[in-house]
Amino acid sequence: MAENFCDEGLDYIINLYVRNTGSILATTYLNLFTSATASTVPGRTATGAPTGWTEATGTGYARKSMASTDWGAPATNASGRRTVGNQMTFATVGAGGWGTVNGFGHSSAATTGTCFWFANFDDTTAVTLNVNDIIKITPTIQLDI
Amino acid sequence: MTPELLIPKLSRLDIVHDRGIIHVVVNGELKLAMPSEQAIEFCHLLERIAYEAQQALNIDQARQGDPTVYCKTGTISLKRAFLQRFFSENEE
Repeated sequence: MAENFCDEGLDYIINLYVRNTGSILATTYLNLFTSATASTVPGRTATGAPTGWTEATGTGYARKSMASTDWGAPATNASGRRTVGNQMTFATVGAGGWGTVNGFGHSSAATTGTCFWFANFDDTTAVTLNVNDIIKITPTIQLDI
Repeated sequence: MTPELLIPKLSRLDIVHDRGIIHVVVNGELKLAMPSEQAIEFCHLLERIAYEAQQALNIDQARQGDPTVYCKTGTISLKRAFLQRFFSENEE
């Protein structure tokens, strides 16, 4: 299993935290990636364009919006703090399928935007999405020191 | 009779009614001749075949479309991401 913060995602945190640039987002988006593998993720230079990674495509595919209220309050977990998101349900897969999905990422916009990070699924098992399938994802963000 | 025998590569189809006999001419070649009443019965049979074939196709397509619901969890950990990047960028 792998995960990675994109450089532009780290920039976003720095800019918001100390440089007072950027904006707090009421809505963010989960995406699905078909590049890399079930246990590797796109590299640090990947962007929301998307460049450096391949996003799922197909009939009915769209990034899944998450309201800020979909994220739980931070709580202690192991050596850090974490927030667990609500289970998010993507649209039903349309004709032709969406391909084999190796994991998901977190973006600032429904298209392009900033890509904050990527992660494989915790079970490191890819999913081939065929017509009428449904994928539901429960995301967690953990910050440790 | 198979469809291939009756209609090998259908590019031209002529159906001729001549003195109570239906002639089916495919690509200029006479393929079938039968009395009109028999031809009507034959067409009803073909209609039934077409209906059953469509039903079978619909069932197959519906079966292929049986949905699977995948429930996945995924975690981004800043520490793990750091460690993975550190070791991948410092491999010899």
